[in-house]
Amino acid sequence: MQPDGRSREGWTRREFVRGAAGLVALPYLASPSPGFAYVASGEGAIQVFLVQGERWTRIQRVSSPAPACVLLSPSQQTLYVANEVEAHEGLPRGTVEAFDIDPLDGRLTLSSRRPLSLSATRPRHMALSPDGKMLAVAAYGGGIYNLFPVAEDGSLVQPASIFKDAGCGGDPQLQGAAHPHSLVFDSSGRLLASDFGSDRLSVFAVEGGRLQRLAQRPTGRGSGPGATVLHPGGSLFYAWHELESALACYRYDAMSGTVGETIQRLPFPSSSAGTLAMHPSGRMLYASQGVWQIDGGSGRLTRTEHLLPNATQISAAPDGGSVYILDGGTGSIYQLPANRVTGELHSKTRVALVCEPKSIAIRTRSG
Amino acid sequence: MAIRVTRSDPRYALLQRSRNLRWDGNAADAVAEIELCETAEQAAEALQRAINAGMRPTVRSGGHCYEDFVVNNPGGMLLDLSLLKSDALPGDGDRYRISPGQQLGEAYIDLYKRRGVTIPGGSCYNVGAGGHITGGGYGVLSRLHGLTVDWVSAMEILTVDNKGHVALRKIDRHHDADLFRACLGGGGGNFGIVTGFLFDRLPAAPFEVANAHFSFDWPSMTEDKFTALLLAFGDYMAQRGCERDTWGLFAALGLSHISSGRIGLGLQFCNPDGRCDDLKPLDEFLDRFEDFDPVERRAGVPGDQRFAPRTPADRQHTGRYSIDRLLWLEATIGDSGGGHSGRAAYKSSYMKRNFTPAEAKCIYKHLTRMVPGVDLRGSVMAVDSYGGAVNAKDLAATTSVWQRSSIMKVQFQQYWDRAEEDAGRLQWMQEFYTDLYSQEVEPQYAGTPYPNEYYEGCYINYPDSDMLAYPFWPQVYYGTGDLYPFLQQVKRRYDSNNIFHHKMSIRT
Repeated sequence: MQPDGRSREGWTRREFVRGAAGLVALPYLASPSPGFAYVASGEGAIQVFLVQGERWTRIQRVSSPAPACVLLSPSQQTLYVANEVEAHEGLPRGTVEAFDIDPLDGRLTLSSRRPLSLSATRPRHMALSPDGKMLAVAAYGGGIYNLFPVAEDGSLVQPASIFKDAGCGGDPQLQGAAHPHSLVFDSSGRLLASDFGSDRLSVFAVEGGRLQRLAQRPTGRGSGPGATVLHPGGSLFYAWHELESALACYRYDAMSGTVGETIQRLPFPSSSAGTLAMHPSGRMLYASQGVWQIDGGSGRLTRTEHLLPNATQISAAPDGGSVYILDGGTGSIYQLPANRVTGELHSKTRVALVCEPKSIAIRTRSG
Repeated sequence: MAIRVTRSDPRYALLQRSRNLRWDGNAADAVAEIELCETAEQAAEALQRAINAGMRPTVRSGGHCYEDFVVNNPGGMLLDLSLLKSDALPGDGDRYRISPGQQLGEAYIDLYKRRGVTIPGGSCYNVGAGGHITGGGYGVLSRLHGLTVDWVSAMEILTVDNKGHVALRKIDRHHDADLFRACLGGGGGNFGIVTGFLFDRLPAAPFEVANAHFSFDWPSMTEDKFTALLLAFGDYMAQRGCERDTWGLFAALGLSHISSGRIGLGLQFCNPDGRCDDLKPLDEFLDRFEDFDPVERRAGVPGDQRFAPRTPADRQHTGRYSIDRLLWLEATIGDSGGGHSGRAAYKSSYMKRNFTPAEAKCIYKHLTRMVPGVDLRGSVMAVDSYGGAVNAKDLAATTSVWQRSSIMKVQFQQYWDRAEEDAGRLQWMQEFYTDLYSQEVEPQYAGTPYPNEYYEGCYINYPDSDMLAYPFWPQVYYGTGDLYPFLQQVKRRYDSNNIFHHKMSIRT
């Protein structure tokens, strides 16, 4: 394995394990504009990389039980990790971890691991409120949402609000119960959630630190809504329907907190899990099924010719200059330069290899 | 509408508390509201409102749950059924009805006065029927008449379907038979909210019973003598106690810590016909203890108030002892415990055979062990007689109580008042229990009465969350057969969203 972490095709598991063991340190301090990447790995760890352009150097491996989602605080001083576990200390509940980030070298130090509420198992997704004061966690297994207050130092204590959902979907095998999947806050602090298990989208208000459901929007029997993104303009909401294998665009009324009409529904041949990411410009949507140009007026999608590698997760850098793709099958992480204005992508470079990459967060050095 | 008690209501301070004060304390963990339900319809409406609002419901009938399953439910709703006490409803016909909010003492009085019958339930007057019966419903008359669940003919239960809609089901052997069986001993807080138990028939209440209470001096009890005492008790249960004419005998050996000064032995007896004309089986039982210098006493067993002190209606002598003959209801109702609030901890085990000498020595070691700075008065290992009618093997398949081969049932109990004592007492109890149940079990199950030729696990109505440390805890409570998979199947079918859950609820 090359010391900078870049690769060519054909890396073996042994190679990247060996590479992980030989962590290198600190050559980046003199490099221009470095950042850090935090990757949740299915081997039970968070892998930390120094990012210098397309040169990624692994600098730390931190144990973490079944990390499924990583999320940076607005200040970029804390990394939150959802641990997709069935039980913690003998009780059926997942956990969420908070890591302090060293402002200089980007390394992680675990500051807290907090249990979710009873029966809130297998959390897969999280979202931070716009002011960074609330962390919402979707417990896929237990059908429960937890809302944690975030302390000044970024730490978590216990959920201030617990919402136990109930429901089912069209597929009795896969949708026998509510399974909260993805979360996103709108700019006013309302929480939008997709529920794979009960074929619906929900909008929650956060009032007095408590979750209160404002509206529910069915997505169609057996649709299985999964990944979602909210357009930066705030009035368009995109959802990938896993079971139906369709990409749907909904009107979202931020004033009333309701998900309205279906603007577009794009079916695909076979059902599959999928992921979505929005370019900060709001002009491009990246999905497992391709790259889509967004019509600024209607919100409708037009497919571009750009092909993406297999993606289990896609993430766009906050500055719009890069898009990152995690291929859970091969363990590859790709970086694709993006046009900051249009979101158009350029050719990919494989920048790292991680065992079962699940989720990625990018910290810019300026943060 | 149920009576809603929120945090701003003056009643909240009392109603949100647990009887076990170990679970009090953190206001952030307490329920958001309490709904006092007087009818099944009120309970259904409140439950639906909880689900719509995303609140986790917990359920309380008498409030005697040994574990922290109910009152600590942050942001949730506690459905309190203590006012749901219907004696009979239109349509019940000749059936007997017991409502979940009825206290056992109330149920005994009501059944006795109206019909002259009873249930073989627990001895604590104000334990609520709801939790007691769904967990099995074992008590003083169980050797004579089996468990309470062995007599239940039908139930009414609120369940939540997979869409989140509440429905009232009437279940029996022919309607939702799987759910019915699961509720016959599977434990409360798993599948729904039981709003009524119906019985086609019940056993006649005994006319009278003989009560007696003895104690043995602790300080003079050598290890050999202590071992002999335990083996004498266990031998009777393993041998003579299996014969039908003894099934009217309930005996409890109260193995207190040595610091209490005395070891207690309490008993109640009647002949199979509910009278006390032939006390020979009782004499035989008492003869076993002559060598241990028993002292008759009128007070209850230390730490165990199941036998109320009272002036006997008729004291008669049998052998060298005097026995109180009391009318059954008089003996059953009174200061029969269960009303105390304090700090408490519990553990349990079912025993299929007599104590081994190694077990007896282990028990002696811990009950005579002094822990600096820890007051172990109020600590009792209560060894109850078991078996008899309970051990009808076919009932294991029609109920969810699988323990049908035991001769003794052990309840470890501790009672104290000050939070500062928690750590020392709990540590002593855990060490005692772990050591004892490492004697006769396979090494991988050490520390638990894992089902084997000696033990039949633990009683789900004496839940002990310490057992969650063992990944095989469901097998300890529900056995190694097909019961737990069956309960999981029922859980998936009737509560697919896991609306009803607590630390030790059925997991799918």
